[in-house]
Amino acid sequence: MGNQLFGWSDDKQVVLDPELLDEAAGRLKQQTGGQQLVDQLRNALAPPGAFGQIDGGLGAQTRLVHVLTSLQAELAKVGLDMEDLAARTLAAREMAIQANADTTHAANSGVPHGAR
Amino acid sequence: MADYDFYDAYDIIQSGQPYSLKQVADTWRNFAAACQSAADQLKGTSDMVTSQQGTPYQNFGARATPVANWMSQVANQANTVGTGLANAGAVGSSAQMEAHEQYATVSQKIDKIVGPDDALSVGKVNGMKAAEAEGAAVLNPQIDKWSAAYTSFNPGTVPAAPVTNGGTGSHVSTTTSTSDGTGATGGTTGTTTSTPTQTSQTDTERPIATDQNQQNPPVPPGKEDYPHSSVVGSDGKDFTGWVKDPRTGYLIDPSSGQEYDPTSGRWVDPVTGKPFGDVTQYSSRLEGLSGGTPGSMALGGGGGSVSVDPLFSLGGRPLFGGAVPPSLNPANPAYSQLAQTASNSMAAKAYAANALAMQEAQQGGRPYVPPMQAGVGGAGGSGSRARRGGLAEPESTWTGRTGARARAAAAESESTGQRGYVPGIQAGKGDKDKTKVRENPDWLVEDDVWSSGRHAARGVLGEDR
Repeated sequence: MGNQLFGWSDDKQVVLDPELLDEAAGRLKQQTGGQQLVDQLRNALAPPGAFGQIDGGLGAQTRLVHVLTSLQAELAKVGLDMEDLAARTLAAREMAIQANADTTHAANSGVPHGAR
Repeated sequence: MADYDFYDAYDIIQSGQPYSLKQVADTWRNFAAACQSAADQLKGTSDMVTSQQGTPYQNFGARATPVANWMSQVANQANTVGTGLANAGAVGSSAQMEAHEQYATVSQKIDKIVGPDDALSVGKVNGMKAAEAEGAAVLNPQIDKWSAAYTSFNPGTVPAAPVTNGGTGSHVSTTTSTSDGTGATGGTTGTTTSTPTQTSQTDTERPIATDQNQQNPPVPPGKEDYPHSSVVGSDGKDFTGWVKDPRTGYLIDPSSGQEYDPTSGRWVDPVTGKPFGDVTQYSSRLEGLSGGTPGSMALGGGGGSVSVDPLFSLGGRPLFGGAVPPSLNPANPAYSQLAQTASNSMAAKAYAANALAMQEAQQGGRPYVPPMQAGVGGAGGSGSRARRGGLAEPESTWTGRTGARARAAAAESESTGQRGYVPGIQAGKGDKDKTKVRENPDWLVEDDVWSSGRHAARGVLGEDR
């Protein structure tokens, strides 16, 4: 049994079912081109301009880009499937968003797992 | 220590995109989940394979296990990156909210200094500079805080990937197969990811995988739900369209500036900024407000003026749930001054709430329509006339700054009431989201999933169109 998986949405942690995450990632790969997912993931992990002109922002962005570049290089060394990682990332995000929305709805309506 | 003048400080604070930073933070954290998931799968496969006897199996385990462990390290690091970015985003959101509120406050002060005749004198100019200096004294520390958050953002270095004993060409896939590129051992595993097309009964009972996910194309995240959005969605019931103050967590009514503390279930005194009165016994603390239509007032994202009598009502709708904030007790000898303070404070908060909501919408957040733009300048009486909307000369007359001039032009353009009136309660209504005019075309919606680098449309934040 592996470690507990957590998805994130809105600064909230959501426990993910590994099997469901695998299934969702597989669906995403089928529905969306794998390379497209990879490109989107790369852009999303280090977007340009988000840090603004605040002092220290440029340095922070540089560090972020550096860690992403290093990460990509190391991932390439072991030959990990980036398409799969991208699909899993998006799937985790979708599941976390859905779980958060359902939780909020249930809390507000008093109806657990109720249809929204 | 930052030492910018007021408008420079404002511009610098607005140059960041904290909403995008929060989205990026989530992406890194979810990337961490992806890495951990892949690591677990690889480790599981490795354990299964190495449980069999035979050199090829053992060789595979010797390669796969270190990679799985390394992936776990990467996941931890990705979480660290996400945490740092989330912190920077939170600090940035607070800074921007403060900047918007200060902008409105300084405008109010300058309006009061200039007076109704719009005539300037040396004394008035000095007074305006003093007001701006007061605003700068608030904003510069905000820049320092944000800068400190950036400085503390230290993602570290990526641990080196393990060198496999299979030599060159080792390939590890977490979904299809793991094979030795050199062919020396020929170890191959079958950890194939299944992609079912039908929903099992078990799946439907789980909260995070729904029929919708299984049978229909997945709804891109961000299309119906907007993580990190400060604007309350349809789940907020009567608070739908209100804006969460990132500094306090209070909900701000963008049409009046009244505040509600959802944690304690109490309204917030506009003078003291503290919750007051009995706990409002709403079933969810997000229900029970009567609806209503904002009355005559001037409120605009660019112009920013609201006229509200905090003691009475807004368009017939009682403020603060009909209760009178303690600081606004009419028996108080300082009532008139406090009422003016409350009115100004509420106007500034309403302006800030609108500005923040529109800013987030431009960065892929919940679509937002300001409560109204009609009637700017015609709702005097509470002393919160918008500086730029009500003055004959734009602020650039005093500051000579291009950005300020542009903002003034944008504000003046908006103050003409060209936009239609839309009650604040409509903003962000879940059922109406689908029919609402979006800032982005539909083909861009999917990019909202990852979007962080898109720039705001020109003119929305007051710059040159």
